[in-house]
Amino acid sequence: MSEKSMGPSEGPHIAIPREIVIEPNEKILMVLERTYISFVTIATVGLLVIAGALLILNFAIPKENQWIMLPLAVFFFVILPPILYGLGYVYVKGHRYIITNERIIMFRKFIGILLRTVTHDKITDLIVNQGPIGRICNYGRVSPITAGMIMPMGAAIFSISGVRNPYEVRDSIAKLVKTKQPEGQQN
Amino acid sequence: MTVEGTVPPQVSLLPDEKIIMRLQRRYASIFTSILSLIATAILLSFGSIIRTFVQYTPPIEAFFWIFLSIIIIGFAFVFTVMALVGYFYVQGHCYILTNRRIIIYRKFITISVREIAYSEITDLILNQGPIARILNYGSITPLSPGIRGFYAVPYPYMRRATYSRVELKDVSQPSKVINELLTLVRFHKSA
Repeated sequence: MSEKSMGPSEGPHIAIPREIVIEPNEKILMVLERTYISFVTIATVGLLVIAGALLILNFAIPKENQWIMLPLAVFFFVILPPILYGLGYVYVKGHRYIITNERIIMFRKFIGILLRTVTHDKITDLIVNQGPIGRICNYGRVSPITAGMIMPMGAAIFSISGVRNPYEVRDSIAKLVKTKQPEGQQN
Repeated sequence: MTVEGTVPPQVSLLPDEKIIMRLQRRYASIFTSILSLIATAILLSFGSIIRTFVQYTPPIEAFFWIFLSIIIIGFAFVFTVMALVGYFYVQGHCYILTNRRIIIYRKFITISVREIAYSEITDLILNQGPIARILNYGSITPLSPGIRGFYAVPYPYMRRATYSRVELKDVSQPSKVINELLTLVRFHKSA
């Protein structure tokens, strides 16, 4: 657990959750965090969609019922955003992605715990996704696909989401996959 | 977590096969199942409840109290029955980790057995809900090319339902178990 080498978005003091046990002969190569901006983008898009829906509703409902728009607007634009962005911060901080010389550990602790561990020799595909904001801010999602974790689950829920320099992360994993897989099995 | 206990007659071990761990489903997990069932029932009947109240003619107070009593008695009945049946249901779960494979066994009215060799495991998924975190139990799904990620989705309403048991459901100390499983997977990979 003590041996670490610097990776693309690895901070020097990123702690490993106590739920994750690293084997004695296993070497941690990278510890990655999810970026807060990746959540902010999703949350903001959601709020903009709600704003659009409210605007349409404002024109659609009869004049005598338009009083409902004020409490709705207060809830969605005054009360909801601080809760959403505040909880989002905790949600983002609950993510840890650990790449060792043996496996990738994808960990999320938020209300519950979700952990996926996959050894490098079982990875069949590596997919990188970047949205428009992700391209500008240089973050993205790296999805290690296996025979058991196929698309779209492997690319959506159980993936390395919102990490900085996703292409560098992809290259690092690809190198490990290449060294771990037998010659005939390599992509 | 134990190696003691009998092996169900439907499970046959190979001559050189050794049991490493024998796990049981935790009874406490049945209460989270009851809670989620009640939540589902409320979600599904929410529209009907609102409609009933809106269409009802006054006096609504008396109707409200009768309605509330029926709901409470109904939930109490369901809770008691599920807690009783749940005990036998949970006792029917048995997960055996041997030096060769994982055997996932469930006997409750029907019997379902899944066997998976460590060399076939591609991913290990650990899933713990909020109550499970407090009580230290959780579900571990060993994925293979045959049993894929759709069975391990953390959101209950999105998960693909299955007649057979495919996961080590609600076992104690899941972090330890997943670590033990990983050690076995690594050993079989290098062997």
